[in-house]
Amino acid sequence: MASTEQPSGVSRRKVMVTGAGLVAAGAIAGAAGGVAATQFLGGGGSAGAKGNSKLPVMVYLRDPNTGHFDVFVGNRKLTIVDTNFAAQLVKAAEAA
Amino acid sequence: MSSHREAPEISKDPVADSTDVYAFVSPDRPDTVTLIANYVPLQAPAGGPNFYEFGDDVLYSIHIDNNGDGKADVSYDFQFTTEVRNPNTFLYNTGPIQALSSPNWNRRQFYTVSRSAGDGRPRQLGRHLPCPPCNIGPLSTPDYPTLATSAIQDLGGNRRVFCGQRAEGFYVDLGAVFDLLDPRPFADAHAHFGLSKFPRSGPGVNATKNLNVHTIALQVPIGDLTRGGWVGKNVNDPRATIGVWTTASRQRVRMLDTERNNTWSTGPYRQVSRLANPLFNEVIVPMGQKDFWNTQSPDGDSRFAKYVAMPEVAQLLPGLFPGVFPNLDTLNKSGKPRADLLAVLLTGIPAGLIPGFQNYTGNVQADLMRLNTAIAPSAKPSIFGLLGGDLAGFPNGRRVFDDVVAIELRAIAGATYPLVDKTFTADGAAAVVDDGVTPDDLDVPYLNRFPYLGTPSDGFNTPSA
Repeated sequence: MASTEQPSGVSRRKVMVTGAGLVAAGAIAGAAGGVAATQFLGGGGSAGAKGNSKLPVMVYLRDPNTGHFDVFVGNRKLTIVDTNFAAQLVKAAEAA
Repeated sequence: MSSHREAPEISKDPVADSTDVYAFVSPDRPDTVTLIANYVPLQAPAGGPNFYEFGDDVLYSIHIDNNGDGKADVSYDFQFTTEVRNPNTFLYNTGPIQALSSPNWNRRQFYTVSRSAGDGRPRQLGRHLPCPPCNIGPLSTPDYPTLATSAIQDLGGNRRVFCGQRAEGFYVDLGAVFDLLDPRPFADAHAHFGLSKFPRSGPGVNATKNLNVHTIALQVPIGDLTRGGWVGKNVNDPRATIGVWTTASRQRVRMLDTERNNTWSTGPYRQVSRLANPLFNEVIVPMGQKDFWNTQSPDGDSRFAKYVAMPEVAQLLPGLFPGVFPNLDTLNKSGKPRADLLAVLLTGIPAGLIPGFQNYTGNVQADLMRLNTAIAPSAKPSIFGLLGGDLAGFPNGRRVFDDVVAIELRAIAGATYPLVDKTFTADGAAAVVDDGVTPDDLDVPYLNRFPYLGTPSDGFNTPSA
């Protein structure tokens, strides 16, 4: 899972919250977006890396070229952009 | 069928497959409206040991539009949870189930019902409400009617709810309809594609006889559903008419977690099934659009209006029955849109077309089950609803016994076109064509009280339904 492999990544990512009632017009950079994401993911800044979230988290690499990830948790969906992590996944997939 | 297995994808997902929607002013409690949504089609009563149930991972909803925009103003949501008493037996029950709390009942299902309106925030009306078991047989469920009645939950304020198995109330000769639209009573008039061996005319055969469904039934005061809580007798008041539809939704991601021996779902709910008017997605919407239609909201139904304006069945009838529908053939060839069907299915019938009746909701084209709540239940109901002169029947809402197959087939054949074009004369056959099946072809009678659908057939006595 993205959150466990990059435990400090969320606060650095551009995060767009698209869950119900929290639609952002565009990418939110920096701390505000990071806080929103970590709240949903149940972790304390590590996006669930501590394993204290009871909600399963599913991450879907929507577009390897742009690094867009869909993060599904609870009844919400977040979008995270991380081109480096996308590249790592693509590399791992090709090696599999 | 009405909407059983009506689209390719949902036919593979029975627990989310909405089969019928009913909405009517309750005949025994005329200050209330009864809303019924059926799921899990074509249940063979003996289908154990894992008998039928709702999907724990499905969000079931009944929506009401009361201002004509095709969007939900009131929604009722239902979510189910299955509880297993003893995972170390394969049995559904280990003895007779004579109460909902019976320790003999191993696999029970409970539900939460909530209501959203106005601000959209759900308000829970009831939680951990029990469903009855399926009707298994005289040893397992010896007094099923009493058991099922005990599962009717009083929500307070003249509101009640029931969720569980019921007898299928929809009747249709599927075998004939899907054998190239060859209703048995009219088989002699069918062209039969030049084949020498073809069926002769005969009575219809009900394909849903002795089958069961899973029912979500809700009875609430009329004012819970109408705009501003309106309740009245003025049929022409625009607040009198509500539009009803149902949806089933699934979370977008499902994980088969073999490492944890678990299956879980996550993410936002995505609509996978919807239903209002019977047969809309089934016979109006073409194959390539059916799955898409199931994911859409009614307020966008103008994109499907062209299929209503030129329905495929109307185009087929003159060819399938040579010489029987000459006026329909002329109408088809004129290219005129079927304004009658557009009204019946997508906007409601405006005042002035049928004396004492309207269920018009405005210009927004939306497939809704439109119910004028100011029209009292009929003392002498006709299964042919409006076509039978009964203003309280389909397409003014829908009662459990309405012959929607006959009504829609006759309407498509041209019976309702004179409402919008006085110069048109419907073919004689349009007034009588149907599949030859009536409620008499159901072995299980309807109830005259909530939840109105009959006692489900049990597996012991109907092992091969």
